[in-house]
Amino acid sequence: MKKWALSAIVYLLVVVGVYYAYIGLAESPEDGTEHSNIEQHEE
Amino acid sequence: MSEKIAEKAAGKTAGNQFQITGMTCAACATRIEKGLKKMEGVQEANVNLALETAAVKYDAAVMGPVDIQNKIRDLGYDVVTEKQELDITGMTCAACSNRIEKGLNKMDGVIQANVNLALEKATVEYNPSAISVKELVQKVENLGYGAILKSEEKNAEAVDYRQKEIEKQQGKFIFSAILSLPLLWSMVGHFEFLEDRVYVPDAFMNAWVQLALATPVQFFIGKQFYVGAYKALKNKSANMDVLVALGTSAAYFFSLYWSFQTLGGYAHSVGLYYETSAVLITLILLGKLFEARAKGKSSEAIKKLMGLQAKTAVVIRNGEETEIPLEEVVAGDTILVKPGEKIPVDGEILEGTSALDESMITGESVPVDKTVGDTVIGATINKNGFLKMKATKVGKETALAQIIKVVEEAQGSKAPIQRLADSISGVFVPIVVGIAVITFLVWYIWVDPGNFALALQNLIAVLVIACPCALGLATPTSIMAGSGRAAEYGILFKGGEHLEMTHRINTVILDKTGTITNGKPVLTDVVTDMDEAEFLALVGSAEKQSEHPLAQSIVAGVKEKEIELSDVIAFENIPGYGIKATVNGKEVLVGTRRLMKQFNVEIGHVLDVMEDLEKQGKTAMLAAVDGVYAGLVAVADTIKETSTEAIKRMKDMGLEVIMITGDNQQTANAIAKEAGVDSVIAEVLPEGKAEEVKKLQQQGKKVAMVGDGINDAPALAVADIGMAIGTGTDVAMEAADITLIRGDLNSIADAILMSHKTIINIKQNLFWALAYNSVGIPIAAIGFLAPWLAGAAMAFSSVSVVLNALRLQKVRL
Repeated sequence: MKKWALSAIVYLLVVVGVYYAYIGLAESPEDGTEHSNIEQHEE
Repeated sequence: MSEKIAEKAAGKTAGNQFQITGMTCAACATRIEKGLKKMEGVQEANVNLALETAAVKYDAAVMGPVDIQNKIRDLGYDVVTEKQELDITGMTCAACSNRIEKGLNKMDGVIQANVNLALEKATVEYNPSAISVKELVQKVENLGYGAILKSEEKNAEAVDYRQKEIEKQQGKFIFSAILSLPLLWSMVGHFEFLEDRVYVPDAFMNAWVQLALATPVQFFIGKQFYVGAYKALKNKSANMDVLVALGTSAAYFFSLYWSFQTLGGYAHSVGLYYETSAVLITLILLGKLFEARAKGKSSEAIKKLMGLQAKTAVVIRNGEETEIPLEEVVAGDTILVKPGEKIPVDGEILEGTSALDESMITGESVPVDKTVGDTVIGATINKNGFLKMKATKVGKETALAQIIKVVEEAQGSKAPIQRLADSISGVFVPIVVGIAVITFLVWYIWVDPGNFALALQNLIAVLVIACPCALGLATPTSIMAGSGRAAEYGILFKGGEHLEMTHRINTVILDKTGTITNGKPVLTDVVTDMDEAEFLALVGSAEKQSEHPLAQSIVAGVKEKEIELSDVIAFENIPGYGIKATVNGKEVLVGTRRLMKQFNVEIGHVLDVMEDLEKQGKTAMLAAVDGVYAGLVAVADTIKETSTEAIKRMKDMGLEVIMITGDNQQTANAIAKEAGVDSVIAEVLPEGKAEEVKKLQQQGKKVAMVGDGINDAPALAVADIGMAIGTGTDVAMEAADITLIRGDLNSIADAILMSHKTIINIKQNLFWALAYNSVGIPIAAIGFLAPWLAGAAMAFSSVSVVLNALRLQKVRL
């Protein structure tokens, strides 16, 4: 059971880590592109 | 295989039980049952969802267990089999290995056996429910070879597959829960009333992150639902897996579509439902986990019974005391049992006296005194004396093994009331899918035109709330718990149908001898003008030579009064009349009026006394010494201590209690009056008892016949419910539907009460299971039930049904 829990936690950390790494790398003057995309879609 | 079939005796009915895996709901059980019944050669098939077993009776000339196993696998499920390797010794050529292979393959329960001459090894795939390793070894030994388990340790370490499955499901649940939690967090963060109060990390709001978290849950953890659904659909049927797979896939793929549409934007702004699919799968796993644990508990009765056995026994072999494993004890062994130890097998006391705690077998809490000549039951506890006993029944023959077998069979059987659940669950899933589609269309076209997300959400909720798991578990879990609990009280129901039928009984017919009475006559009256001790010494000494039960009871009565018996010089048994013997030089006659008449003994003056005794239900015997009347002795079968109270209890329950006996009306009336029975059917020949039962049935009565003797067997079989009472013979037990191990009539009322409680429990379960679905579906269809709530409710419904059934384990009778 510990094996399952550990795998899930590691996977979760990797996903979140990759997300923040991507956000960090993508941090640029055009920051906010994603938000504007969604807003456009909602409209 | 064909060879194996050809070797089976033509028309021989064989029975096998298979442990099945992969069933998820009642629809699965019904499908397997139908599939098996369709097979040529199958006479009876009974699939139990709760126990995950299939009991199949088939014509061994037409088919074998492999065919049944293949059929079950074709239907999309698996059969638990075990493989055992045996080291074979004594083989010299290929003929030997062929012989062993054929011998093993012929055994019921062996799926396949291969014997390798070069390696001197046999690999046997077998059905552990039908046959044990020990029997395999025994078979090889019977064939003239030696067999040793290849790996004793491995075998000992083999963990119960159910426990393994529970552990695996636990792991999957934790994995699924950890990944679903962030998704649930993001969903809660979007509740309007909480929006500003709950912090949700940015990462959890991102659609790609949500996709990454939901995907392993959907396809890795949820694979079991896809596989189950595929197998069901391949067999043109639908089960719970179909509903779960449909519901979660709809949510997942809809969200995936929108993720691409928005190129990974923020989740709930565009109505993503990753959390729905993931949380649903997590909750369903949780429900299954609870269910598996509760199901495990409901079969505790068997585990408890099995745990009662002693592991070893101290036997005297070649004059030496040796402690050996229980399996090695054979009938005839002399066994020593110290105070506080368990009696290892059934047997007879050779030396010593002790009080035995038989509560684990009979439910009777008061220890029973045992002395030389008394029988003892294996697994009971020797309280205070040192006993030397002879083993009379070992292995499968012991009372405990028989009890385990009966309880296992009862727990695996189906009650007629389950037909309702089976017929509903068979058509349930297709109907639910239909309702879900209609719900979707009504919402999408009519209620909120164009709102695909909302229509889909309601469709998912309908699919999920409607899983008929609880319906499938309602009856078998109650039967398991009810019959298990009854067994703890010494009441063995042979099947679910009997457990159900018993609560309808309104008339109880009690056999007299051995049922109401102890079945052992005792000396009650001595009437003589001589010195009583002298008179009894003469009569007792004369009767000592006779094997008649009445004679033996007179001798026992005399001995109890500590009167010394003398040697008999001449003894003559005059069948139907009595006995003639010479004791201390005196000619003693003991017997009937006819005997006295034959020897011209004047008895006119004592006939009134004799008739009075007979009116009281006693059997009087006249005695003459040297041709002159000397006195009379009377013996009577005494009523069991508990009979009167038990009969009153039955009458208070509204049951009509009738006594049946072969005795004359006068004697019968006397016993009936003392026991508190109002109706008596007397002077009935053994074969006439069944006729009397039929007569009552023709009056529309539901009759339970309670008896103990071989002559009761036809009546037990004819009655709506036949109950064999405690000390009964094997024949009576075979013909009976219920065995009352305790020789106490209170068990009759207890059995009826247990049946009532079980049926009420089943009805409650069926009601709740149906209510969940019939109330839940409309609520979901009108959009008042979020899919994750539907999942939680569905999981809770199965758990609540099983927990309700488990209440039966606490019933006090």
